[in-house]
Amino acid sequence: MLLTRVIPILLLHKGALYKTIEFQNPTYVGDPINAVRIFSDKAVDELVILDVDASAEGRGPDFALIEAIASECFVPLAYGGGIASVADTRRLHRIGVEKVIVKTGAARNVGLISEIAAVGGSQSLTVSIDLIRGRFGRYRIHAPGTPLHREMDWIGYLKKIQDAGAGEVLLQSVSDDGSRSGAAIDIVRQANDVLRVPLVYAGGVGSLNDIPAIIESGANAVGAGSIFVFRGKRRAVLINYPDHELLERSLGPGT
Amino acid sequence: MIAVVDLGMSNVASVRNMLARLGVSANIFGNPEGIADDQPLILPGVGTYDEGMDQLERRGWLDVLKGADPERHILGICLGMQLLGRSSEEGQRLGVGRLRTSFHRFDADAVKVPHMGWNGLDVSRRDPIMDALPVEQRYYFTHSYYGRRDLNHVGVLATAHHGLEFVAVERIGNTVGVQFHPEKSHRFGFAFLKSWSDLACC
Repeated sequence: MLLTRVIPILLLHKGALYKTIEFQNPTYVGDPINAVRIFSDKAVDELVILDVDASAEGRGPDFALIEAIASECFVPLAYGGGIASVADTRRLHRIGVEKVIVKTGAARNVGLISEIAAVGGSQSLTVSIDLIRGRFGRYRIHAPGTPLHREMDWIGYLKKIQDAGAGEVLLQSVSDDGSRSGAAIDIVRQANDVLRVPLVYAGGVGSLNDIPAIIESGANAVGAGSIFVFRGKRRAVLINYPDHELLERSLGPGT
Repeated sequence: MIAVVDLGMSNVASVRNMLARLGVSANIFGNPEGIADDQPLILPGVGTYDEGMDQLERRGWLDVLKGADPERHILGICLGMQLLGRSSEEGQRLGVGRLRTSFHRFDADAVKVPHMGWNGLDVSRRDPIMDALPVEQRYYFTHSYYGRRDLNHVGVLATAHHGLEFVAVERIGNTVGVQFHPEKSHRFGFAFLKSWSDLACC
């Protein structure tokens, strides 16, 4: 039985960890190597690290920092940010990253997905898609600097990335990021209708109690930032993760 | 000392990091030069089947693996296990053949593919490697091809379930294959690699 994965998503910004609200107003969380060590000791299901500056600054991954992070990480580690070639992904695997996440690179050229999958296999490739809720609750793709920015047919794009060889999809609701006010269940359902690969949803998770509804709607894993790095209304930084028994009680035995 | 086989595409650093934390010395080797005939080998794996076989051949590992004594300790992880097996639907090439399992694609109409995440094991047979492990175990898996269970094959030490039962741990002589990633399975992975390396060398 496959257990539901609950995944802290950590954002790299200027070499440190931050947490955003609607992808903006970054709050300093801490030193990435130290945070990863703590999460690894707490036996998290998986860690996602996203360098939110790389593509915007037109640069590649900070391999030295990622290698230092990976050396402290004895849980599955996925990295995204600035990946533009198969060579990048090979280098990331070698330094200890199991899964690579592409977003901007794929939105610019969906062929990048097939190139990476042909060498590394789909099982180590996640493709990320960010959505913004517009008027009337309609969603469009958030991918600044790419031809897909503001595209409404995000379902069509999902099919494309799946056909190209994505092994997993990370679906984020930008409009709910950092809000802790609950998930955008409707997009989870719509995505699950077309996906045959695992789906990770992130955005708006306010507590473990939000997770079962996301899973029932078809996600295989849930990512969250705020609940694992902040405590209380004042958002005091406290790195935390529930133990396995609490997770099982909250989420049930899995699928 | 354990030799970790580097195919240029695998997560060699993760394996070495976990062994180092266990106090087990291991080095990464791109080719078999300078490696003793009885040195324990770990073959980690991320990637596709034919690419893996090509790299094994090009770097000179294929002859070493094929010709090794059955008592030599060899551990294949994920794709590494599959390469040590007979064949896979993912590729055209034949595997090394030290293990007996063949690999097939999960049925995407029945389950999400890849099988990705944490899963438990059903231990099928007693073995010193498995006996040293806790009763409740879970490991991180990520793979699209599974080893089909042959009920007559006593080398299957444990299975896992994703739509169907598949081979999670196989052992023939001292060649062991695991479909999961011990190097990323925190305390369970530490326990597994310790159990294997206690047997293999130190």
